[in-house]
Amino acid sequence: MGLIQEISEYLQKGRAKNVKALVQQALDENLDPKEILNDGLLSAMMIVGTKFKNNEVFVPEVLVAARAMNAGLSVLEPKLVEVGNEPVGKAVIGTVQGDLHDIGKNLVVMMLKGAGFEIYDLGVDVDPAVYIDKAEEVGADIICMSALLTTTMPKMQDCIENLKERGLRDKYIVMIGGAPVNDSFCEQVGADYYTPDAATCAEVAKKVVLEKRAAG
Amino acid sequence: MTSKERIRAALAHKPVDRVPTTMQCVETAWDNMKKYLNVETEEEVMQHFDIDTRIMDLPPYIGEAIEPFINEDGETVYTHPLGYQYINKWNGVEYNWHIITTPYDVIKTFDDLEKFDGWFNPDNFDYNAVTEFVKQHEDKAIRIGWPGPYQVFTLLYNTEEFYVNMYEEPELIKAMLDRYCKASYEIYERMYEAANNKVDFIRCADDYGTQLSTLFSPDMWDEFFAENTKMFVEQAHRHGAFYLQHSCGAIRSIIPNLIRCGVDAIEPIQKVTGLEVDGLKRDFGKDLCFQGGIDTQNILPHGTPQEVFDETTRVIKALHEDGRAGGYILCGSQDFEGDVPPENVCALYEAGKQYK
Repeated sequence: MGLIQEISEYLQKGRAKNVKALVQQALDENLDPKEILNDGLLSAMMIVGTKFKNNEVFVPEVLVAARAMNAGLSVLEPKLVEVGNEPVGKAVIGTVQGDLHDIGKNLVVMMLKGAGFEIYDLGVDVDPAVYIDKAEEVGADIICMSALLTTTMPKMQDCIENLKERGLRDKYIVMIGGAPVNDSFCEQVGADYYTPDAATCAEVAKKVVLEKRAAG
Repeated sequence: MTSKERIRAALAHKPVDRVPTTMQCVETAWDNMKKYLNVETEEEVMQHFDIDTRIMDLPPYIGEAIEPFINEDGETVYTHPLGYQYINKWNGVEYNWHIITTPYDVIKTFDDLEKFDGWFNPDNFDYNAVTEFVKQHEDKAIRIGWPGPYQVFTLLYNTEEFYVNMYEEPELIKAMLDRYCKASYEIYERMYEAANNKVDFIRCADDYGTQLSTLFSPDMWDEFFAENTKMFVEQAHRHGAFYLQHSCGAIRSIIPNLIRCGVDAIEPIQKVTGLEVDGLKRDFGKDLCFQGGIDTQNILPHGTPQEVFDETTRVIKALHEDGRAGGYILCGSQDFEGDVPPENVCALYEAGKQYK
């Protein structure tokens, strides 16, 4: 088995120490940092995501895999900066104002990282305007909002209205998710995409960002 | 039938004279109902709807006073008798509590576990209050219970660490669960005794599910939760009580595991993947009684009273059928939240009352 494949296998098993050591070894052997990232770390995380979507693995397995990915990234990132690697896109994410639930949101963060995104995680209880301020500050492509409660879902609409008022609606892709959220709510509040699980969110995010970029 | 007889019959799959009911609300929803019905107390709200159950989760805390304090953000911090600290946050519609400290985080080794003294202390609760509560509600079905071991760990322990350590330190996690469960078991034991064995059912609440699946695999559920679930089930049965497992989310894949542990009933039957009421009744109706099922994520907050009435009738038809084999207790698929119009709560119980 090649080194890259080994990194992928260990990541899928959530073995952070092994992944970290092997990424270092790969760098010492002068393997291409982008190859280590894409074929070693990210593709492995995508495999975990697909298995998660198919109920073959569950939250603990995703968490340990994500930790392993982060361990690998911590070694790899300085090299990626050196070679000028660009992320797939940038996403600002948070749980909406008044809502403090974050298991789902955190899973989305892990999956988006696994899809190659640079993530700005605003945490929970996020004011609608703060998503936009952050997106403007970092030049984000996507704003992701999560809500568990029916009583906080309307905050998603507040953010979208706020985007419109500031003349920024078309600048950002707005993605929403969370237990009570569905397609019809997405349409009703004028968001761009609702996805039912974290892995699908990452897939859709990657696809639409690449499409938007290709369209210029 | 008295309310007590009705609930016990429903749980035992015996004939009931009408659809049995229970009621669970967040605080704001209770306030909305009191205002709407122009009454002063939760008891009066329940009397209005002829609710069959009365609920005492934990007995009153009588241990050393744990005074709330103001933190640096100006928020009032409360300490729950279980040991976690939380603040109440207003979201414009209702208060939600937010946990800010998780005391089990300090336990990183077996040594730490031995030294840890923050477990539930059974002496800190007033069991006379249980005796009084049962006397006050003689004809009602008495329910006790608070979060189960899984849920308590998500309150007392950093959730991400918990999940990761289920994977990386399974023996430590099992030992921690054992310690917690022992204390919890002792409190329940004293409650059953104080109630003179008149507790009708216990509800342990563990949110094992998401909208689509369980948070961890059925095998992992067996590894960490089968033994302690069995222990609380057997304790309930020994005291003449039934065991109701609460779990939010799509838990179909672990229902067989729950049945193997002797669980008598499940709630709240959210409208999620795999919990379609017809299929549930068909596949598990012989083994389980169901509680809840009226959708709090969509129809209750957003529907009209007529839609709530129709949906309630549909769910009752599927789960209660003609009542000859019990098996159903009516309520929402979660506590009523602050955004559920009181008219819709009325429509739900009216559908129960009118169901033939």
